[in-house]
Amino acid sequence: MIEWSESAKAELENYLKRARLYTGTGVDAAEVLEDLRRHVHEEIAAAGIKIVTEEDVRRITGRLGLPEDQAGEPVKRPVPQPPVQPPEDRSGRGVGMGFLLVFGVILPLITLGTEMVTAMCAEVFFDPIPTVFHTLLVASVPVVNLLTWIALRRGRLASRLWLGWANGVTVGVGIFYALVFLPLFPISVVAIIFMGMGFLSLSPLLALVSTLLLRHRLRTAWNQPDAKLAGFWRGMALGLTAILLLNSPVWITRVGMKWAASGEESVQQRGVNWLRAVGHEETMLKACYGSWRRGGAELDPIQWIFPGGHLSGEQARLLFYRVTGRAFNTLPAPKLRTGRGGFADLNEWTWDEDQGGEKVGGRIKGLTLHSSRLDAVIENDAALAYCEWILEFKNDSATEREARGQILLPPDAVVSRLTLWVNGEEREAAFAGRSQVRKAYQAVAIQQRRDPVLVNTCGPDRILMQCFPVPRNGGVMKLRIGMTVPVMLDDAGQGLLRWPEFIERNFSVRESLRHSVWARANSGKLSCDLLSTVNGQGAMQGQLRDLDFAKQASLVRISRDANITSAWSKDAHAAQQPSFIVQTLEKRNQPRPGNVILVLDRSAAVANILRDQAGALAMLMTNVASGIVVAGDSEPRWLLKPGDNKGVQAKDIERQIREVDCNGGFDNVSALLAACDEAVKYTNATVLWIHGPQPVELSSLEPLLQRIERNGSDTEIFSFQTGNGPNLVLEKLDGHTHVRGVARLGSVSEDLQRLMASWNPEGGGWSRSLERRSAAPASGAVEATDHLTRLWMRDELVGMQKKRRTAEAIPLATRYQLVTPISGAVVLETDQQYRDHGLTPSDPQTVPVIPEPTPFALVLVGLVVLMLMRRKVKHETSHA
Amino acid sequence: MSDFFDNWTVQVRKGMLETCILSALAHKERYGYELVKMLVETPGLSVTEGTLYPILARLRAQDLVTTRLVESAEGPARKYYALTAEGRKVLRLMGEYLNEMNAGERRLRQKGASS
Repeated sequence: MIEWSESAKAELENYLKRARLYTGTGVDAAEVLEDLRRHVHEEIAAAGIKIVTEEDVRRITGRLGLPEDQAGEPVKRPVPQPPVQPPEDRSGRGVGMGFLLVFGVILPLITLGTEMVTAMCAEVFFDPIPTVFHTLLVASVPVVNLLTWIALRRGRLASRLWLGWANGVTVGVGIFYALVFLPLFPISVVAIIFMGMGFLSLSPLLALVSTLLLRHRLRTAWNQPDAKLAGFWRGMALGLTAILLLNSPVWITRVGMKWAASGEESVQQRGVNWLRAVGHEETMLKACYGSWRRGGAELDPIQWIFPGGHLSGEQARLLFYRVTGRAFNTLPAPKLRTGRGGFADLNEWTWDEDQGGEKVGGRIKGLTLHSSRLDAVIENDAALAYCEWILEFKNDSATEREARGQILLPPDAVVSRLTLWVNGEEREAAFAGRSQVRKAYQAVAIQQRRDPVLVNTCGPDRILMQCFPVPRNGGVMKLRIGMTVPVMLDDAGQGLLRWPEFIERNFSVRESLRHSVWARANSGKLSCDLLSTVNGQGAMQGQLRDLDFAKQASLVRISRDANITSAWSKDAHAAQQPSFIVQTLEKRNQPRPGNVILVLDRSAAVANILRDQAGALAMLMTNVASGIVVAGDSEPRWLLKPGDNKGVQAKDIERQIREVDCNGGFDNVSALLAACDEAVKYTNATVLWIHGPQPVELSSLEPLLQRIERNGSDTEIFSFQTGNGPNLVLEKLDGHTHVRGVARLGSVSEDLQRLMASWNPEGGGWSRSLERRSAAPASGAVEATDHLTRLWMRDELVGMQKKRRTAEAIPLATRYQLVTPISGAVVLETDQQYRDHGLTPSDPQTVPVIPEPTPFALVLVGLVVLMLMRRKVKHETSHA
Repeated sequence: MSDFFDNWTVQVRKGMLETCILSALAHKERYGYELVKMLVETPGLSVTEGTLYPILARLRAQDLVTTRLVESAEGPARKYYALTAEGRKVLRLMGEYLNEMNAGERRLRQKGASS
């Protein structure tokens, strides 16, 4: 290491100053001076001088001499100057350089490293380095500062040009981050004064100051105070542009969200259209899961400069559907950058704002479906089934959680049992009016934080299940939902059973999870593409993935005796005994609807359906329908109005349906309303609503409810949902008997054909009628289990609800233990809790069960085992 | 007489300096310190180091030489100079021109002796 005395430095600077004046035109003076400086350093190194004195420099520079004009150019000979004192700290040495190294390089690197490891800022305020590119840009500040610092120290003038540009870029980056962290400035100052900490949040500002000072030194180094340094404005613009481009998905989306939040309808629509075109799904999803929560804030300078347009979680969820056509909770909360070790746990925390409510809400981190078991017993000849779904939820988070999910039941099924395991013991549910059970659930679950589970209906063939608390840190909650299922008849000799499935949930289902499925017939055969046969053809079992339930291949086909069209069951709950429920299966002779008005959803979920099924829908139109209306953002659009369809060709309708622009999610209510208003003009009119999920309420349903309630007897609405998912319109129409779900047993095309066939007086499907009698049928009828009675009561309750006899219906629903639009089921932890809420839990002796093997079967198995043992003993004796 | 010769040598030296620099780089690149020392020690050129650097800078500005910096363990980074294609061409032309001039001067001298 060669040390320079101050006078030696001054002598060298004096020489270079003089040499500069002697340097002729046509050459880069800075370059010549740099070469001379280098030459002096090489001379000193070659001479092996360790401590450079003024005399050493004078000797060397004296031999070097001053540049002469060798090209014959006139050189302005200077007036001899007095010795110049070295300018303070311009050569990259001095006390200030230490400051620049600490605040321009070391502190930013420590800050960046700390944020990368702990995600401290991301946890509390916002994520300053959401992507790798942000991290690289931030890292460029200390790196460029370090390179500049080294260049100044070593006196490398040659790197001046690119360092000037690099410095300009980092000034741009520095300005952005200094502004971002500016709101934290007062907090940092207070923290430094009182606690001696808080430098990290000041780091961007200090780094920016250091970067600017380094630039100044770079510009004035080597005694060139007037020399310009390239790349300040353009470099800065480049840096700012880079960071704005990196953040562009966020602020472009925020702009759209701001418009969408406007009170003015046209601006709102502009926002929705903008987001449909260029919106960033993850940014919208973050807003859905609550932008107030940790890490939710975005690096969005535009939002800070022009604040406003903040959306509540609810508004964001509406917008997410309108933009994407999907429910926000079909996707888990976006992954957020988090720290390691103890900091990582914070990422697992999710605020559940829908706890105890009637909405499924967002996915909860750490809450999963741990196991799932489906058992079904099928009474082939009675065309009945009883299915039990045992579910275990596991909570790996550090907070107690509520598991919620909407279940799509098999068509026309009714929940008839609900059980919760409390401390390893089964507790049966109490059935009562839906408001009474909800009140009990909320009191016990939310206020007392004990173990309840609640099941209510939420639309045709839909139930909402919720249980709380799933214990934290790996705790498991186990429950069972039993459902009585009418087997849908494909023809007299074959029925179909569809499994229940979750259509909306706030918990995750791991890819590896398999639903363990088992089904047994009491007579006849079963077949299913995804299950394997057990015990001949009387039973089937298998492991199904969650997605398999939506497939036609998961349907269980049930063969039955086509000649048996009657079944009966004793009604043990009836006040008057003896009492029997008799079921008659018969070919449906339903009159064809006079006018069918087709309501088509326009959301992204039905895009493929409309394109692929345009032909089938056009045929439907020419056969039975008289009008087609399509949902729109504000007003519905009539493709064909009833009365205007004379001479319209099927191919024209097909083309129009195919051309419907499906993008995002649309409100179906206004289209339904328009269809109902047209339908009421005709007698025997039907509205066929073909739609995807609509997880949000975009407009009030009151006008539609008014039409249904006032004109309901004249118009029926058939809901044909093309894909699984929540539908808030159907939830709100729950209990309105004129709104019927079309059973989804096959592909869209097959189910549409099945529906059309049911409207054909000759080729109609099978219907089931149930009636109460005082005597069992004399002959030809099979005896069924009391599930037949439950199905009859379910129909009775529907009829009573239609006639507004709710007060009378609730006790019946309670007695027959059924979950219907007027009644629900709740399991509470203790008998006292039941008494406190005026509820009586079901007697375990009266709840439906999956029957164990019959005594005869057990005796048979015992005999076989005995025989095998005897044979073994004999075999051993003979060998002895 | 002495002043006349001194002035003449200055003029010749001026003309030859760039030729000598380019010649020194004809076969290999050299770093500035090495090149300057080599030229300073060349008999007849009698230049100071300070004089050579502006010429090198000018030759670089005229694209006759290129430079590159190489880190050195012994001292500051070394600036290496090398001839460009244009530099080689100019050096060849200079050589041809000098040869022609020398030959012409020799012929004149021989003619003068014979006449």
